[in-house]
This record gives sequence, C-alpha cells and structure tokens, in this order.
Amino acid sequence: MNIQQKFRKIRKENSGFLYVLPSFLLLLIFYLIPLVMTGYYSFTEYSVLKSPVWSGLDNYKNMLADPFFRPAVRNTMIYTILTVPIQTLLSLVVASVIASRFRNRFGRFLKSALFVPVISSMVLVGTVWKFMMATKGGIINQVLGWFGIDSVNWLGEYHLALISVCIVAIWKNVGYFLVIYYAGIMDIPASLFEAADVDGATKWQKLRYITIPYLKPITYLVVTLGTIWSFQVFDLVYTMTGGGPGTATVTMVMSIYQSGFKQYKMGYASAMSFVLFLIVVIISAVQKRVFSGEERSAK
Amino acid sequence: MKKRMKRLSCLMLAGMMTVSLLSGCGAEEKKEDTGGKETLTLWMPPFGTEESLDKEVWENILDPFEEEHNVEVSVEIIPWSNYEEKYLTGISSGQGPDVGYMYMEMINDYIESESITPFDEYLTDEEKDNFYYLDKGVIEGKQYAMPIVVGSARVMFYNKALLDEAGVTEIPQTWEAFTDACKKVAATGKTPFLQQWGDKSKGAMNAMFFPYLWQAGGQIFNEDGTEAAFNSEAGLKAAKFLTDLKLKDGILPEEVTSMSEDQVFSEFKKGNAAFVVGPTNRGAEFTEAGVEWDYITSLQDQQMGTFASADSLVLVSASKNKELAAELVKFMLSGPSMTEFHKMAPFPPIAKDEEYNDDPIFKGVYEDNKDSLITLPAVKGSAAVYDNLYKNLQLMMLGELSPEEALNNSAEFADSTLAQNQ
Repeated sequence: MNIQQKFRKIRKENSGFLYVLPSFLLLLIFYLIPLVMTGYYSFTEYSVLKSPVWSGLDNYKNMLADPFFRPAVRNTMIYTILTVPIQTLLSLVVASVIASRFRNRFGRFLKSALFVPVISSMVLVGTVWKFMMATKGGIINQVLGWFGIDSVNWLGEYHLALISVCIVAIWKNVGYFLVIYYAGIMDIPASLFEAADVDGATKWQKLRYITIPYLKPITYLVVTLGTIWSFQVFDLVYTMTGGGPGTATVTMVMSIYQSGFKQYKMGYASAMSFVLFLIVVIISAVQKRVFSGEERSAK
Repeated sequence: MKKRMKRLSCLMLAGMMTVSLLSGCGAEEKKEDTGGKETLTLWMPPFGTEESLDKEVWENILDPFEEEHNVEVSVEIIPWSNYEEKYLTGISSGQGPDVGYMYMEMINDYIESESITPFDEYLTDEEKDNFYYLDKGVIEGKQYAMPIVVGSARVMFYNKALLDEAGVTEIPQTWEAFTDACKKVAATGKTPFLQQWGDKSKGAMNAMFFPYLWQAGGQIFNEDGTEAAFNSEAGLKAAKFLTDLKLKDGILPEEVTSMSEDQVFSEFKKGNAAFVVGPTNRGAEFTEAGVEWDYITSLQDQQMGTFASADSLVLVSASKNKELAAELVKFMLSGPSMTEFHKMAPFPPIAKDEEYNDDPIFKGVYEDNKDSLITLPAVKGSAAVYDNLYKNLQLMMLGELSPEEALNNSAEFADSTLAQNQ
C-alpha cells in the first residue's frame, strides 16, 4: 500500500469524526466542561465575583455541618419516593383504561386534557395551585367547606407542605407519562390479548401477564425520568413555597440555588451539585441493574 | 463523482455548523447603534406598577442629561425576583451596568471583590452637604453607596373601623397594650393581626422580626459585625412575644405560616385584618381600597424602632467612564430628578434640594420619629445569616423550634459564617 492509499484509508476511516463534531462540541461545551468545572469549583472557595481559591475538602465538610443540607436531602428523597411510584402507577392505569375502554373521541379528548398540565409552564402551574391551595379564599378549601370540612393550611403546615407540592407535581407529570404508556400499550400485539381471551383470562390477568411485562422498557424509562426530575425539582417548590415554611419543602436544588445565587457561595453550591450528581448516577445505575436483572430472570 | 460531491457537501455543512456553534459561544458585544455617542448602562429595580412605567419615567428624567453630555443612557429594569442573580452574573461576566441600584445586604460582597468603586473623589463638599443620608452609604470609611431610597419605613397600619367595632378607643403603643387590643378584636370574630410568615423573601423579617428586636433594645450583629447579637435577652423577648401572639394567644391565625406579603395586604384591603406592618408606600393602596386606616410608626418596648430601607446607587468598577457615570448618579439624585421619581414611587426626600413629596400623612415618620428608623447594617456574609435566621424563625412560628432553639441555632450558624468572611 503506497502513502497515497494509506492517507485515503485514514481519511475514510476518520471522516465520521467530522460528522459528529458539532454534536460532540455541543456536549463538550454544555455538559462535559461544566461538569468538570463544577467538580473543580467544589474544592474551592468561590464567590463568582472573585477568583476561586483552593480549599480542599472544606466544602464537603461544611455540607455535613450545614443545618439545612440534611433536610434538603431528606425532603428530596421523600418527594421522589412519593411522586415517582404514584405518577408511574397512575399514568399506567389511566393509559390502560383509555386504551381498553375509550379508543374513541372521548379517549382522545381525555389524553389531550391530561396533557395540558405538561405543556403549561411550571411557574404558572405553581402560582395557580398556590392560589387554589390558599387557606383563605382558596378554591380547594372553599370546596372542602361545602362538605363541612375545616380549612386546611396546605402550604403553611410543616408536615403537609411537601405533600401538597407532591400532589401538584404528580398532577403535572401524569399526562406526560400517560402518553408514553399509551403508545407502549398500542404497540402490544393484539394477538396476545386475543389468545388470552381464548384462554379465558380476566382483565387483571391480562394486565398482570401481558401489559405490565411488555411495558417493562417503558416503565424503566418512566421511572428513570421521574426519578431524575424529582431530584432536580426546583421551580415548582420555588413558586409554591420558596422552600418554606422553615425547612419543610427545601430541596437539594433549592439549596444549591440559594447558596450559589443568594449567598454567593458558588464553591459550596458546586460541592452540593456534585453530591446531587453522584446520588442521581448511583440511583440510575441501581434502577438499571434492577430492571435488567428482572429481565434476565424473566428470560 | 456524485458520491464525492455528496460527501463534500456533508463535510461543509458539518463545518458550518461547528463554526456557527463556536461563534455563538463567544461573548456578545453590545452593538446598539448610538450614532457615535458614548453609552452608559443603568440597572434599576421596578417601583412603578409595570416595568415599562419605570423605564419610561427614568428615560424622561435622563433626557436632559443625555443631551447635555452627548451620551446615551440605556435603562434596564431588573425584576426583583432575580435581582441578586442578575447582578452576580452580569458584573462577574463583564456585562454589568455602569451604575446600579443595590441594597445594603448586597453591597459588601461587591466591595470585597472590588467590583464597585467609591464616589469620594467625584463629590465636592457642597454636594455632600446637600444630602441627608450620605453617612448610610459610607462603608469601611469610603462613600461606596449613594443612598437613593431612604425610607419605605415599616409602620404599623390599623383599620379604624375594626378597632372602633372592638371598642379599642386608644391606639396601642406598647406590646402589652397591643396584645390587649388584639384580644378585643379577636372577641368580635375578626382577625386582629397578620404577618407574612410564608413569604419567600427573607426581607419579610424587616417587618416581622427586626422591629420587635430593636424595640426590645436588641441588635442584629455586634458593633464590628463579627458575631450575632440577635440571640441576646432582647432577641429572646422579641421572639417570645411573636410566638405568644400565635401559639399562646391565638392572635396570629394559623394561616400566617403560608401567607405572602401580598396576601396579608390583600386581607387588610378587604377590611379583614385590624393590624398589619408594611412599608409607608402601601398607604395609597389602602386608601384606594376604601379602608379607613391610620398608622403608628412603631410599637414600643424599651424604645421605638422599625426598619427603614437605605438602598443606594453604586458605581461599577468596570465602567469605562467612571467620571461620567458618577455625574449620572449625581444627576439622578438631584432635586428635580428625585421629584419626578417620587411622583411614581412615593418616598421621602433624600436631599435638601427636594421638597417633601411623599404622602403628607407620613411626614411625621420621617421627621418626628426619624431616630426610630433603623437600617440593616452592612455586614459581610449577612445574606446567608438572614437566610438561615428566617428559616429558623419560620420553624419557631410553626412550633417546631422553641424561641431559644431558633435563635441559638441561627447564632451558631451566623458566628461561623461571619468568621469565615473575616
């Protein structure tokens, strides 16, 4: 092989890199570099206004002593544990009902209606629900009043505020996951259900032994997305409660935002971001293992 | 040949995308066509009913300045909701203003990073003599801030009709008298007092906690700003007074823990609350709503005391023409400019060359009770301290922490934070 041929071969083999260069640059600029920078800043004392100064593990040590970091982690976990299973189950059930009972105009209307919260801005949703949940004059308490139930301080009670935020989050997310599940259900071959009918399977058995196993990859997607979104929750909490009252609804991203942009402690905020990143990576890995393990055992 | 052309065009497209991506990432230069004129940028918060109103008012005020100095002043109104972030990101990236409006809690961090410049060299003795509150802008011995809004005092408004109905003939001046009056109002089935403990902003403490701390004779920080002082006996007394109002006497209703400032004032406007504490510039709204109201500057325990803001204009170090920017500040603070500004945002005058244009009913606050108006001290790291204190006080009002726990937890955090900032 002469030099010209060698050069042509190298060019042919590497021309693919040029095609992916724009996407790679995007990933590099908007994901990889910020990630590496966050990692670096997490070991510095950095206020954005001044150059970062190396501080070793100080930010991570401070995190352990921070009286609001623990509630932030706890609240984020509670929020995730409450919202992810409920929104997953609810969207699966509603999608199944629409797919089996309402494959008509009403079903299409229902899907669209449930999708409206998804396309609404989180800030708008938070603000509207805040008014609806107001103790005085809020529509929810007015309705409760018709049934003789006393006003509930939805967003002002320490143990209720986070649950109230979770309710709104579930309401907002169900429509999105419902559409994904509905598409998945539509993909299930009708012959499977027909065979089950012939075998005299009940509706529950069809759901348990056909729909749910067939939708496993979709459930994995829904649970993973739901978990990541839950760990990133910020705007809904910010508009509805601002993290209060006290530490009742403060979440990890909320703490990161307050440390970075309100207290100008960007180094500390970076350390918290990195911890959040690691938590999300670990949970996603565990989820992947659980789902793939189940798949293997099913085989 | 065709295949080769296809590959070539693909490569060209990829190249173009890369170039456009890289050019998009570059810092964007301001390219406003100012017809060769110099440009100054001014960042102000909104005071009018709409952001556009503020912009219009300031542009009209600054017209003569622009003409005189052959300069274009670009006025940007920064919403309160992301005020601190905008300054932080703007100034740190070199895209900040020449002149900005800051409140006391913000200023120290910018001084420390040398992002703002003192005004001393740009002020004559005569100019200094004109201002009433110039001392409030002196930090570390230098004139880093030029006060523009001094006032907005948090006074105690009361609904005369509700007090009459409850048989409260004498307006309470002391804490005890206030509690008694509130109990009488509660007996009529009306809400005696509302506070915004669900408000997102830590600034709510300016109306809800600091006035009582000062009235009890306490201070937020020690004199040199190195330690917390709010956990003193006076602080504890103030905290207990507030928790008693909610948890013992039931004067503050349960829902205050979820109420924002706007919700509190909305209830007062509807005639549903007898007492609220708020800034003087809210008075006009109450009148418009048809409430028969009056006010007292503050309650009194050991002394009178309430919050008054001292927000200032600052000169950004990165400004290319600081002298002209300083001239702009002086022009903005001049009597005629302030008179126009106060038509939109009623605040008391800041200098001798302006007549009193605020609501005449509040003249007494700024003249007779001037000594009881207290501004927040400029302490390094105070933003984090206030944030922490506010959360602990919220927990205290929920009954999750005792007043001692709330103040001691906050003081512990404050001392370590202030020590880190030394």
